[in-house]
Amino acid sequence: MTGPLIVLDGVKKVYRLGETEVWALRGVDLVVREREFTAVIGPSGSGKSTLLHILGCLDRPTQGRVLVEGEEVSSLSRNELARVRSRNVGFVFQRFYLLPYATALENVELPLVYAGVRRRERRVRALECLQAVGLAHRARHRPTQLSGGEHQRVAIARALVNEPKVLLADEPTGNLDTKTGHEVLKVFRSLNAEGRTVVVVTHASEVAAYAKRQIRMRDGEIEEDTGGLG
Amino acid sequence: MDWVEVLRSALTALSAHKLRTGLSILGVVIGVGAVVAIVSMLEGATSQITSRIAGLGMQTVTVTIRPTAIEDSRARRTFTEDISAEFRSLSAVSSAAPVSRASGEVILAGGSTWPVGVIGTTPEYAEVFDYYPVQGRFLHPMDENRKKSIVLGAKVAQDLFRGDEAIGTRLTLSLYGESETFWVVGVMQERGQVGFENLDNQVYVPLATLQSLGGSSYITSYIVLAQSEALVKEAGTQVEGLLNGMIYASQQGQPQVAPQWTQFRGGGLPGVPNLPGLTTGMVVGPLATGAGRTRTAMPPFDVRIPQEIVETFEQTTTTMMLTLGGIAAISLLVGGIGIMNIMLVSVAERTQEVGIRMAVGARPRDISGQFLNESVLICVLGGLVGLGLGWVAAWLGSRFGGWPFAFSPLPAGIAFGFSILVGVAFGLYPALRAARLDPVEALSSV
Repeated sequence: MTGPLIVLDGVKKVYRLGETEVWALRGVDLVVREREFTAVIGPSGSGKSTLLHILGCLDRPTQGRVLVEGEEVSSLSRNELARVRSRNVGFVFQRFYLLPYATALENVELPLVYAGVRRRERRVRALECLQAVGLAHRARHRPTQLSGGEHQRVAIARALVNEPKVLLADEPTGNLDTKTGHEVLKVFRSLNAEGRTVVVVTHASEVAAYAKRQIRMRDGEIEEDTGGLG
Repeated sequence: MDWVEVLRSALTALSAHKLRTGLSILGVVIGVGAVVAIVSMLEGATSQITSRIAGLGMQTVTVTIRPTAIEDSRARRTFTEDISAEFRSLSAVSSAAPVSRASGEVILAGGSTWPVGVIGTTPEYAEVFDYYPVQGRFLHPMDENRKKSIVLGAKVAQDLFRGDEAIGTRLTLSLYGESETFWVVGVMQERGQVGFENLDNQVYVPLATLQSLGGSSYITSYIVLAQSEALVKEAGTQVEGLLNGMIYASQQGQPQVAPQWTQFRGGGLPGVPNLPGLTTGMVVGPLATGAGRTRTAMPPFDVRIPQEIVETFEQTTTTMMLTLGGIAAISLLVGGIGIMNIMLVSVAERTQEVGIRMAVGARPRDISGQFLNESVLICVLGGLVGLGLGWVAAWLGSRFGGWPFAFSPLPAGIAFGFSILVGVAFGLYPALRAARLDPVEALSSV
């Protein structure tokens, strides 16, 4: 029922900035289970975004193993890694990252395009997801015609359209006002209530309060984990 | 991703920068357009020239007397009407006619004049060109100098008589500065362009008549009809042999002639233009072979069969097409470099887009495919526009140049295919560069 979805085993990540090495992660062990709502909290530079990227197979660890549904992904090629991403992960970013020249509907369809879903089905599923975030009436609008909150709801619809196992959000409220931020977080909570696994990265404790499990990070290490086996 | 989707997203991306896309396809447009226009125009012009030469009949041999030889009185005496009869006695020859040309003016009733080309020839001319009168008759061996006969080309008859009866009327012709009265005995069928002249615009008089009027009415060529198309080459060889023999014989009798002919090689006689274009190289001067002399001379005549002329033309146009094709290929190459430049800019500008696409599941392969499709699409668009413009240019050229319009699909297809190849070749590097981007870094780029 609540089996391990993503497992990080001794994950380290080093960035090279010119001559200096920056340790983003200094050895992280973490199990993300199905149906969990987890918040990763920490100051900037604590490695929480890197952790999220590695959980979502967008980045690869310098050392350590990553297992998605029991499959070791660190040895996969970049093309294969994209497949894992396409099947299992939906990303939501602080800066939304919508394609500016595409409509809301086309933005939501994008993951389905790469998953090889046929055109007609794509359209139907993308509309359903826009409806789920309350933006069906904005389907034909381009990002410039949408408000910040609407941007993020389109981005959430896009993250959900592939029916991923896990939703990964990186500071999803960072560019929103408090009220809109809370609305977005409520969307996450209800998605989790429907059984979706959610991981939110944030520096704000009131955002983290929405989650059942809180992981506190500092200097590339997990400092505290409230729900290790919750 | 299905191909409709691929095409759609490439079109969306290109239409986001219409001016840039337009400019980047320009190189390909010009390259493909140039190939199509030039090749089509060349083919049109060539087909016109070839059909004119073919109009001479593939069965005829043309003996052209070199202008240098005509200037020389002794050589001139060799080329007489009698040679035609000698030609006719050759086994591969069916008929032969001498041709002498003059420019005349028809003097009309009101005193105004009408320029015409005057051909002095013999009755065999009709047979050689398979060219017959629609009214009256062609020239006849019994035509007398006293009562001068004239036969009109179709166009001349139409212009002068406008459908009125021409046969039996008198026609005053100004020739060599003198007015001469002729009797119209025939009007020829329409024939149009044959070789490099229009038979319909000429009038025909007996060679003897023309020569009796003085002036410089020398024979400029002989048209020889072979027994069959298969015997054209043989007829040419026989005619040449006959002429060589005659000149050799005349030199035996008059050895002082030889040094004069040998002078032709060294730039011709003073004041006489040397026409290198008439040299075929197939005729070896009799002075070199027959008389056993070591010095060679350009023979005073040139024997040609239509096939050779056609072949020479085809060789020339092939060379031209290859040269122009090379130039067009270079312009396509330059266009390709332009496209590569644009694609590199585009990849740099759309780095974040690449990151977004990768984050939602695009494989590096999908990304490289996307950019490659865009560069190929640029080339396809450029190629299509180029084909269209080239087609229009070729059509305009044919209208102003007066040759038939010819659109040759093969070179157009090759040019188009080559432009697509350019799209792949020059789009590959930018596409691979986009695919190699790191998704996290790409996302955070602005």
